[in-house]
Formats: sequence, structure tokens, C-alpha cells
Amino acid sequence: MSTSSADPTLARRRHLARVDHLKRRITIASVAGFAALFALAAQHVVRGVTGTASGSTRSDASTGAPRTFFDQSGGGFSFDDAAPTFSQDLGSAPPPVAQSSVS
Amino acid sequence: MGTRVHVLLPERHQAAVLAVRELFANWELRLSRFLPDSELSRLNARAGQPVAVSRLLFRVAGVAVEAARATEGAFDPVLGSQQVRIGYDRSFDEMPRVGPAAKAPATAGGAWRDAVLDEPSRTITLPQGCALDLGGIAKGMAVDAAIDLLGSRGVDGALVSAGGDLAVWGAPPDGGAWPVLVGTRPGVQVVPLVRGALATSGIARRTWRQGTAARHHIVDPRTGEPVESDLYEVTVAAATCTTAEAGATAAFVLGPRRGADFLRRNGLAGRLTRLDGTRVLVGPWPSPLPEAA
Repeated sequence: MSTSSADPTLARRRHLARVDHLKRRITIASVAGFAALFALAAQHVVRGVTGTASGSTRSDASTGAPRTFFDQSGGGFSFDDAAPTFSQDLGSAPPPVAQSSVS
Repeated sequence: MGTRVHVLLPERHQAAVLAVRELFANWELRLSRFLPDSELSRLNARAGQPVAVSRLLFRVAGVAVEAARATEGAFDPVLGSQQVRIGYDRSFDEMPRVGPAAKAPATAGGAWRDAVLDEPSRTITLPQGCALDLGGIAKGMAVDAAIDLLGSRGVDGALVSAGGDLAVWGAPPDGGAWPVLVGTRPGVQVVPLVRGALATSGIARRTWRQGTAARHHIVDPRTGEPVESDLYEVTVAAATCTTAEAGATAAFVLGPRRGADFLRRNGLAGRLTRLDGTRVLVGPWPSPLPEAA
């Protein structure tokens, strides 16, 4: 006589344990899957950046290349729109900390 | 680089200034066309053959060529021979303000298209008779490198200026923006720079006479002669000092109308001042308050 088939409580416990085990495996598999996905995505980003930075192996100046030198979206710099900007009469202007002049 | 470097940063980070000083000294030693033993001078002396160069020179030359391509040649880093022809053959402080007339006819630029930068061997081959002049772009890149260096050392607010080409990192001690004086009198302006960089190109300085000809240091690649324009100076705001410098030089070469169009197309802000004092503001360049009566 098989205890497992005969004892419904034990059978239920074993069933629950199996389900729990499966759940853990699925969780681990999911975490591993996401990790692999993130790793792939990160690798893709790194490759993308490397590809842009280094260009072709032979960087002949006469060959064409993507024009990414200027950030054409106008990002990366800003002025304080709330602060006043002064011209000519600098009496009331904040004292400048530097000068951008012809060098 | 024939220029003064200023660094503003919190006093507690004072030691970082030494690192910035070292950075600029190193770049100067390698990239100056006025030092006969610099790596750049050795490269220029061997134009026509491939020359193995340091990572720094290869990188700066690569960015310079990239800038030339992005500006369709308005910014041209291979005008060293043209600069020598018009008398700019040594550091400006050592130059006579009046010199003999040019001996050779002018030659147009554009040789950057024939320069070969070979990445695997890290060699540069310049067309024969041509010379790289990395002056402006190297200065801009050095400013950016200094800002990166300060950021990596935990400095939370800094301004680095090399002869007026400048970039900021973080906020000034009292918060807000960095007030920066732009232009030369008459017509100066104080602008509140929050982030990014400013660079100015113009003829307020570095002018001299060669024979009977008035000279300045911004050469037009189309003619090989100093730019003839009704512009006096151009200041450009950009994400980096490298791009601001290339943008300002290109806009000056292109002149007021085409220069302003060029800045607009490339998402830059600028202030173009003509010889007569009138100005064109481009992009999000701040408008000055009405002048006092």
C-alpha cells in the first residue's frame, strides 16, 4: 500500500511542495532571463557607443561619416531664463566671473 | 596655447587645480605648432608619410577632422601652412606686429579631406606641404577634458576658461547661473550660463600687418587669406567647449547671414557682432535688458 496515494494530506503536502518548488524555479528562471536580457541590452548599448566613437577601422578623412558632431537638438547647454541679462550698462549687472572673449 | 587658463572652483577642491595645470601643460607640449619639439610639429615636419602618433594627438586630430566635416570645411584644421604664410609662424606674443610681405601666393584650404587617420596603426598621414593647426579646437577640448577631470574628482561646481573659451560644471557657490561677460566694448553683455560652454572667435585680438596688408588669425579656407567679413566677433553656446569653438570659427568664416543659418541648423545659440556694432542673436541666446537711457 502506497502511503502517498493512501494519505491525502501527505499527497497534498507533496503537491504543494512541488508547486512551491516550481514557483521558485520559475522565479529563478525569470530573474536569470531578465538578467540575460539586461546584459544583452547593455551590450547593445556599449556596442552602439563604441561603434559611434571609433567609426570605421580606417578613418580616412575623405570618407563620409554620420554627422553627429553637433547636438542638433540644441541640448547640453542652457541659460537661466529667469535671470536678467545685461548689455552695455553693467552697473546693475551681477559681477561676471569670467569673460568669453576673442583669444 | 598662448593663452591664460582660469579655473574657478570651491576652495576645498583647490588641489585639483594642479591636475588641471598639468593637463594643459601636457596638451601644450604635445599639440602646439609653435614648439619645434612638440609631437604636432614632428608630425607636420613629416607631411606626406604616415606618422605614428600618441592617443591624444590621434584623438584631437580625429575630432578636428570631424569638426571640418560637420561644418563642410568652414572649420579647417589643416591651415597651418597658410597661417605661416601670413606671418603667424610663432606664438602671438613673440610675433612682430609689422612684418615683411608674404613671399608666396595664397593657397586654398580643404586638405583635411586628404588627411588619412588610420586607427589600427594609429598613424596620421598629412598631405604633402600641409600642416595641422589644432590651436582652437585643442583649447576647447582641453577645457572639456579639464571639466571632466574636475567632475571625476568630486568637484561639484567649476568653471574652466582658456583665453575666453570656457565651460561650466555644476552651479556656482551661490547657486543659480554663472554670470559670464561676452563681447568687447562697446556692446558687452553678461549672460547667465547654467550649463554648457561658450567660445568666441573674432578679430578683437591677434591682428598685425604683413607688408601693406592688415592680417588676423582666422583664415578663410576658400582663399587661404584672413577672412574678409563684416563680422567683428562671434560667441557660440554649445554643450561642449569643443563644439562651441568649432561653431564660432565656422560661423565667423561663413559671415553674418550664412553663419547665423549654420548655427540655427545645428541647434547652437550665438551672438554675432558686426564691425558696425549691430548684432544678430541666434537660437536661445538671451536677449539683453533694454539699455539704460
